[in-house]
Amino acid sequence: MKKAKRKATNSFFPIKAEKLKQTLEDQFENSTDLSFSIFEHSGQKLAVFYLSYQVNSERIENMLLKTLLDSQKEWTVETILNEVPLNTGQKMDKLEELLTNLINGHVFVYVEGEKQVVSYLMLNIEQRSLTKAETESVVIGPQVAFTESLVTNLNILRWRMRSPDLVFEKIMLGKRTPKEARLIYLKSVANETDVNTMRQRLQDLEVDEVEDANVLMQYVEDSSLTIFPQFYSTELPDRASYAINKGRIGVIVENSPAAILAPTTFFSFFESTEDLYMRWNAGSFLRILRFISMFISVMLTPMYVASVTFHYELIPTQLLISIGQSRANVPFPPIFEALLLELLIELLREAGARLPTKVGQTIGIVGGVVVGTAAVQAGITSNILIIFITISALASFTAPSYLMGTSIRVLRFPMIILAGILGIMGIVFGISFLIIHLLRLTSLGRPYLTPIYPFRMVDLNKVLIRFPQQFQGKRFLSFRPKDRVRFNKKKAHEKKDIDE
Amino acid sequence: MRLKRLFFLCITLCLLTSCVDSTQLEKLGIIHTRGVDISEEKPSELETTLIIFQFNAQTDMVSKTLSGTGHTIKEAREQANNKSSFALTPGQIRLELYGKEIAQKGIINYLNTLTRDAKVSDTMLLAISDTTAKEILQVGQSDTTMDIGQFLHGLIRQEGLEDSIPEVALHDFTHIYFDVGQDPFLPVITMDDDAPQLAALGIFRGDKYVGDITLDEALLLNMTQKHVGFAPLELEIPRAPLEKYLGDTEPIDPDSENMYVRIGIKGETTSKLTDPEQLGFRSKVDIDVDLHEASEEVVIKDEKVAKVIEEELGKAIKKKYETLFKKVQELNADPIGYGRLYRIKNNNKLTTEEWREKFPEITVDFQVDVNLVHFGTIQ
Amino acid sequence: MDINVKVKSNISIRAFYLFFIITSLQLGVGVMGVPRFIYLEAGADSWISVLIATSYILVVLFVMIFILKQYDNADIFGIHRDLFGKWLGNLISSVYIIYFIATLFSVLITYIEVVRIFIFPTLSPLVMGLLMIILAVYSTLGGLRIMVGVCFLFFILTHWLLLLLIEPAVQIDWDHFLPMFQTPMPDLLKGARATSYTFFGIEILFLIYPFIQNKKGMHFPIYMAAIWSGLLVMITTIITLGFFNGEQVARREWTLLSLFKFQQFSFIERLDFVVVAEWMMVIIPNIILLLWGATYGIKRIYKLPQKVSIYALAIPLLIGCWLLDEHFQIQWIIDKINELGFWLVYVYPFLLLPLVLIKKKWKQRKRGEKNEA
Repeated sequence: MKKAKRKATNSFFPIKAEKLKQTLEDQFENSTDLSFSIFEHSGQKLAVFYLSYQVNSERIENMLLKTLLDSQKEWTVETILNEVPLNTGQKMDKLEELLTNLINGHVFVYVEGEKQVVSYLMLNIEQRSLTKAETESVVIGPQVAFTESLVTNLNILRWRMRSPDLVFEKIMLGKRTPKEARLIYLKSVANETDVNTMRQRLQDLEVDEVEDANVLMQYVEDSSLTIFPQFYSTELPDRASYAINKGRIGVIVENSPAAILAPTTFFSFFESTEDLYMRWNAGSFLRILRFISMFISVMLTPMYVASVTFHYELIPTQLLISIGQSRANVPFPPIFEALLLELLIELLREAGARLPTKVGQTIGIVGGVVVGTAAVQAGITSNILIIFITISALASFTAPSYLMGTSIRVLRFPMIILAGILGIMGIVFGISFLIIHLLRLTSLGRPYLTPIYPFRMVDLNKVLIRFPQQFQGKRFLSFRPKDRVRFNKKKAHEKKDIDE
Repeated sequence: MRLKRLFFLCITLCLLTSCVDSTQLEKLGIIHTRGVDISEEKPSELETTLIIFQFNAQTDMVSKTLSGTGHTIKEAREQANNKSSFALTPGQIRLELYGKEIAQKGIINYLNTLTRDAKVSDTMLLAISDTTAKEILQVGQSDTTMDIGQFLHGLIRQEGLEDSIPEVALHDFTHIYFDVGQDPFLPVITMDDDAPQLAALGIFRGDKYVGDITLDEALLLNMTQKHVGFAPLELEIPRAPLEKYLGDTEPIDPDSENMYVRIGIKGETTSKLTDPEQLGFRSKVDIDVDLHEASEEVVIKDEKVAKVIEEELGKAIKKKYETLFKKVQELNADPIGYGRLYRIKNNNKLTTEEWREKFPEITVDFQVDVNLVHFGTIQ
Repeated sequence: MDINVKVKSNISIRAFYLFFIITSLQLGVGVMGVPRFIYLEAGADSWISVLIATSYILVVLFVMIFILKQYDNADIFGIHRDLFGKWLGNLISSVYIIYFIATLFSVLITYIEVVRIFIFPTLSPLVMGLLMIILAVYSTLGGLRIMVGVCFLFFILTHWLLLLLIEPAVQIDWDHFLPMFQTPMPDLLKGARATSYTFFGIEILFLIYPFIQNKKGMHFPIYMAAIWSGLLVMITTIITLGFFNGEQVARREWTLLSLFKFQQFSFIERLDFVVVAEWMMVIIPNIILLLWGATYGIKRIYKLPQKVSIYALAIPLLIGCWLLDEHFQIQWIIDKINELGFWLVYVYPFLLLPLVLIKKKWKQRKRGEKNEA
């Protein structure tokens, strides 16, 4: 590589076609994928070379070679650019540039003796077509998900938001294997400080490679040690465009089917775009249900462990008898019993996720029904705990964000341990610690728990209960958008008396 | 910085594991009902009879009876614990039963023990046995089809919910006990053909059990304590004034001058000090009545008939109240709480002793106002 | 040390939060037992004592605000420096800091005792102390804004406990308050004084004042805070006295907590356990603010970074919790703090006021002379 560089500096071209071939083959270690053909045409030597897997060879033959070889002209760089019916023609004269473009799917034509080489972009990417969202599946509303192709993703987003305000800022990430990323925001709405912060963080990133948007997220998050995700990563274009429309910032990365949305509040991890598509009351109900589920998921098993281990006084007499009877055979202390079962559930989930869909379902049934029943009959666990564990596992799956759902599931384990050691004091300690921790978190410098703290009354209509649309005249003000108003509230809310 | 904090946390967790005694459910003998008596063998000691829940893999029997003696209740519990492989704990006591003898000697000391222990719920119920607590608990427990502790608890609680007897939780007892100018009361459990049942309401003078009133009177007493919502009561009223309106059904005992009606009572009795000098009180009984059943058919055609019935019911209730009052006055115990009214009027200056002297001299004028509201779907 | 404090705009707080700061600090361990102390002095007319105490506190707050307004952006340490000079000023400020630390310590040990009585008799006080100090240190390290957030959120998360008082409130025996207005004035005043430990907390205003963004809007939240605390103490006192009778109140150590013993839900038999545990959330804002007050003071006077002093304070406090676990020792400490605090919180502002005014006059005259010259 070094050698080539030095050559490039003292003018690489003109060069003999064979020599060029030799140089390139050296670069690619005699790769068979490099297609380098030399045509003798009207006394000229035309070298055409490209990486065979990167380009659309049909187009090369039809458009490029046909034009070049059919005509009896003498070709120069200028004439090629003028007469070949392709619009991506470029001239270049540096070897370095040439190599990069070769990798990126350019086709090169070199007329021996010329000082420049002509290239055409004929990239041919194998990509999957648009599919339904898998991890964030929705019942109603747009089903399409982002794909791994940046271009497709940009295309989808632009299709949703046809506004000249929408900015796709290009930023290259990764030093060794650079990858294209786009910073997306609405110029007239997004908070400028936030955009600058995000841009700065992306530009300052010094890593070899960015594997995926979720990895990028961890690189640029405010706190990387916490268990809570601070940016929202979504595969739903409607979710992304909704957030961007409200003034947030999106980042998409080549090769990743996820868009990062920032800044984010803790509460938005429990909001689904479905809440918007549904009637406001039904949507609010579901949203509240999700918050309750989160609470249940974190609290239910620890409460059981605490009360069975320490606080039998708390349990009503009738329940006490049934819990006691089911516990009588169990040889482990409640904390181990609970950890064991929680682990079992996690095993089932993980196995189900790794296996193909059809087998995965079977595993779920086998694991859940057979192992559960057998465990109770063998006296390893109490059946009441199985009910609790199942409920809390189910509850943890209601979080629309898979990342947050996983965080909550992981949180259960320290909570169970605290409850098993310190009983109800442990639980209160755990909850307090969590709250303080959440208070300390920020997302792109904005408090994570806003609008609860810092308290902002106007934003509450979007958090716990989604108010009807006519009350949603303002954007989410906690994030200080440039444009605060979505529509004029007075117009949406005309007052009339009965029968007028 | 963060790592240091995490490390700190880990160390803490390790430290914590050894700190709190765990009391796992299945290792406990959870006391549900406790009987307290004076020991028959050693008269200076207490004997406790405990009904516990224990969760044992070997048997399906959840409840078990244990007993022990000692100078204090705690000591007696310890002694009982020696007979069990489970650690006995008081956190779920729902009922405490006192033997007649010990109740007559005074129970406040044991109640203070209960209140002092933060583990014990203040909503636990108290009762007295008309023999010994041990007898009732042990005889009841020999019948394997039911759990005597839960049965008694359910029994008293049910009556309490129906407003037939006043609330008798630990808190209510101590509350009344410490109020100057009122005396507490507890239900009396008796053994009838090997089945325990609620017999009467025991009246206390201070913390000493001195006598009984009937369950009907208990309802009347309850009405002086709170607003009662449709508690059932059976009354005896003379036939004569109603003769005209009776149907021509044949009564079981045609010679009797009285007939019986079963009514639901809703209302309360409010008392007032009318004459501070002569210690005269007036208790106004203001009730709504539902007619449930009568021993003879009464045809309530119009308001006039209702008026007559109301009047007769009023008289009967007044009579009952007077008997009740006489009874408690003879016992020199004031469960209704006239002393409180006197104390308030008297600028808070009243001691229990003074009231004991004054109580036998007070007079109460009962005024009953009955209002017949419903009598079912037939007239 | 500057007399006035320069506060960056990104760490200042809205005046609105003063309400939560002051109520959080006022309502802590004190309120658990205060009805008994008031009753022992003022009897059935205890509620009048609470009323007197609350009105007095409003006056104190008025004076405090008046003092603070004489400066641009000063706290109590700056004022001391201005009035008494370096040595004496620092000495008095140190008394303030000692008072903060002592109160913090008393809160810790009192709560630990309550937990040991109600939930875990065998729990090591060291562990309990550790739990609370971890939380306190963790949030104090987050800075003032985080601490205010803790106050605010924990205020909301604990005030639902008030709903549990409805049940005993319904069962109040109003006869217990009769006859009214029989207690002589000196007893009422003694009763009012018995609330002093509970109502400590308004002194935080002297420290937090420079951090307030919109100083114009601060009157309402401050007075509301004092009124709210007064109202809560009043409500709990009335419910306690009505629900229990005098003899019971006089004998029960933590009367307010006893009220929760009568609650039952179909799925939780004993709510007092939950309440005692949840009370930790009432205590934590207390500890946090006191810890912040103490370390902030140390930073102001002795220039010791808070990151150091927080740890340096946490460890001795922990050891103190471990050593002191007898009821009467704890009561003795509380009594002493009560005395110190009483003078410092309720009386001292009145002494400070004339000094501040004189100093201001003197300064103005001096400036006037200078101008003339």
